[in-house]
Amino acid sequence: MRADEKSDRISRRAWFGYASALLLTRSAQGQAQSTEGTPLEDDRVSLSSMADVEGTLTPTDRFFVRSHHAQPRLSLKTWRLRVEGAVANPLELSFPDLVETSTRSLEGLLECAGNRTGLVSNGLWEGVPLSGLIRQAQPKEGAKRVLLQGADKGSLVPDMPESHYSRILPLEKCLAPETLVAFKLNGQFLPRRNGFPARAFIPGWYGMDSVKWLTRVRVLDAFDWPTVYYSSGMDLLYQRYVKFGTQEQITGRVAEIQVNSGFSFPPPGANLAPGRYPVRGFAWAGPHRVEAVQVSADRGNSWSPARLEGESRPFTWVRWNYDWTAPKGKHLLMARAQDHRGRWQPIRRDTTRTDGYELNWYPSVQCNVL
Amino acid sequence: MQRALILIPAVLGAGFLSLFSTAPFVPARAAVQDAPLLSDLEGPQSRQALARLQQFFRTVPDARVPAVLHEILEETTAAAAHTMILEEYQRRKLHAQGRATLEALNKEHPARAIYAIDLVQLAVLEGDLDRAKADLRSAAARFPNDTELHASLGRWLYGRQQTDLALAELLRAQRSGLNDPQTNLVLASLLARAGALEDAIDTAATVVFTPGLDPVIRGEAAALAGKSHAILRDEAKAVEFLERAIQLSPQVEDYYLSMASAYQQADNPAAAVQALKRGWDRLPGAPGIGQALSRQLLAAGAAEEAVRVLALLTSRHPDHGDALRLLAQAHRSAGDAAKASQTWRRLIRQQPRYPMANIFLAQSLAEEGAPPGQVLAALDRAEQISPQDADLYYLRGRIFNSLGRHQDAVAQLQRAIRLQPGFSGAYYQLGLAYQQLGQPELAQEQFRRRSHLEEGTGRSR
Repeated sequence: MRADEKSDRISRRAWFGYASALLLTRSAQGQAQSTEGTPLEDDRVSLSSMADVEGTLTPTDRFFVRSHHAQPRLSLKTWRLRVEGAVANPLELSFPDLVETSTRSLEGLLECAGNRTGLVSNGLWEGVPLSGLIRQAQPKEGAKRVLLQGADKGSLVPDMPESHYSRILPLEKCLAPETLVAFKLNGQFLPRRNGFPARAFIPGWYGMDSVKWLTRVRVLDAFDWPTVYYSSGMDLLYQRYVKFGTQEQITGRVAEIQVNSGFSFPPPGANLAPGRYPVRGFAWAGPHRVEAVQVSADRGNSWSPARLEGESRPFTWVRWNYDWTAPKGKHLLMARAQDHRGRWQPIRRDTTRTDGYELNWYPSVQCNVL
Repeated sequence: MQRALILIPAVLGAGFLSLFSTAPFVPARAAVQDAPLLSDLEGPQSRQALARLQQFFRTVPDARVPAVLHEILEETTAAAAHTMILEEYQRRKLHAQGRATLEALNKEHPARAIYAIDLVQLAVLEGDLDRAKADLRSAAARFPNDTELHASLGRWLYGRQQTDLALAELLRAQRSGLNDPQTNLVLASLLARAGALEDAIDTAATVVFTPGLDPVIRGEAAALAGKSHAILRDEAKAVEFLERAIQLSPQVEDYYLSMASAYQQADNPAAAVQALKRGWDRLPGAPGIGQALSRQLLAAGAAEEAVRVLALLTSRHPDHGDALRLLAQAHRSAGDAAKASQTWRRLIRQQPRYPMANIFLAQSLAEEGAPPGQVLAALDRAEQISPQDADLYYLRGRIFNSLGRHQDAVAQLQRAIRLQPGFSGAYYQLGLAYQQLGQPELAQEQFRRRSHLEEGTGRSR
């Protein structure tokens, strides 16, 4: 495809991508507000609560779920993972082939790009490094990107043709040692709702790239632009949309998880007796370490350092706590985290952004001290 | 051709001859031709032959083990003998020598699957799972359709608690035509555990419908299919398979319980009770069924029937703490506080450190109208066991309020609130105490807190 054709294609579809991104984000947030902690009848969304986490791992049955399409029912007898495309030695792996390959375990956080609350969880993942499979398939010279495709299928917006959920990632990220084809979570085989029998796990990147129910890894060369990916509008999702005057433009792809934090105690709207309380929560910074967390009990007028419980590591979250002496009254507690590069969470949403992603401004929780 | 264990003198020397005393010391290859021992490993005398082999191993010095074991491994394909030899390598920490021997034999006899199995087993025994995986993949590449190889590896790995690898091997066996019902049952249970419920159902169904097979095994398979259907929310199919399981194996308590759960899940509590009653009639005194049935009866308001079930259960299992707890609750629900107190006392005699028992006894005594001194004594015992329990201070506060000891009540209720700040009932009792002490403002504050706590929750205590 020529460059001018590609830019023309994007401009014709910009309205569509923007509309579908908003639709998905609003749908997730609307459901999130009404269903804290409980799975919906719709199996595509289930929220997770940090209050359920003891230690650092979210219990498997409390892991958040956010999917575009209904969960496919896959048989271990027939499931295959194909590694193909611009490779010299295409592979087809059965489930036994995957299980009988050397694995790596990694504690890692998964966060939906549209998370404000409830769409983030942390688990111990076990799987086969994707780099090993791609190298075994021998990528051809010029291969730069990889399409990951799941078995789930549907229309991204009504009346559009059905397509398998898929994402295109840079080859470099797929060859990173931490990137896995995961088949276990917290020591158990993946639950169906989290991608059984195998999914991609892309540590440090927002969850949309960790394709669930993975069936296909297609290595792409410079001339390979998968038609369905572009015609379904998949390419226009998870982009940063920024308003410039009256115009909106895509300024880049959403990928790396931004520094963020959340409260696990007190719960929103808690009624407490006057006294001392350990305010608790988690902080994370994608592929970076968390440097510090601060808490404000006076609507952001003053900030005090919270204690990090243990050493912060890339890809996972760290627990923090803060001793708060709660006087009578209504209170708004706020938190903010800083990554080791010195980047703090923003105080508010960038007003020029019109998409629904990277919602990492200060979290807050309101409570009443009686 | 099978040769005899008697070849071993040539390798070892004559020192061990007392074990195999029928043979004179002669060079190995010549001596073994007519000796029966190695072939015995695969014949009707295999158990005795294995025992003699194990006994013999104890006499072999480390330095000679590789040569001896190499010969035996080459001469017999009896799986049990190979397993014993691998364990011998492990016992003597001779993994490297074992691996070298097996790799050599594997190369020498590429059509023999037994060495592929041995290599996997040796790696697992050694604790080297990455190597075991590589050996498994190699075996799969060389013998993709060898059902027995994959099935026996799967069974062995399952026995070694390597359930992921067992699942993988049994899936390979299934793909190449596995039809052994017991192995299929193992595979079905592994599939269910892995969350592949439809696969588990399909696999279990092949066992259920195998004619002539032991009904106990078919019953297990039917139950597994039924439970898997229940998880998939197909209660009708769940009941169908569980009914079959009960018919095939009516003595298994778990099947009635699973049937009741399936009905419960389908919002049919009456059918759940019927399933449990059926189980209770068939297996009177079965603890799981007795407890589940009595819970259902209590939930349905049939407390006296629950008392009858639990009385039988606790007479059969007098030490069953959960059943005693349920019996006390059933007596209470049936309006017999005296018998409830009696049952709590029985439980306290059995489990004096059970923290809640004295609190429940105190509650029961209060309901019975027992003298406050008895109630307070029970609470004192509870405090010794579990001093951080808000319920006991709350209950003590209530008793003090009822006795007119309002100042004492305030202290107890404040302690309950310190331990459990959201305890709305404690605020209410505290408000009552302040009211009686002539402090209406303080009383109103407690009532307001209670209302605030219960606002929107619909809770009250």
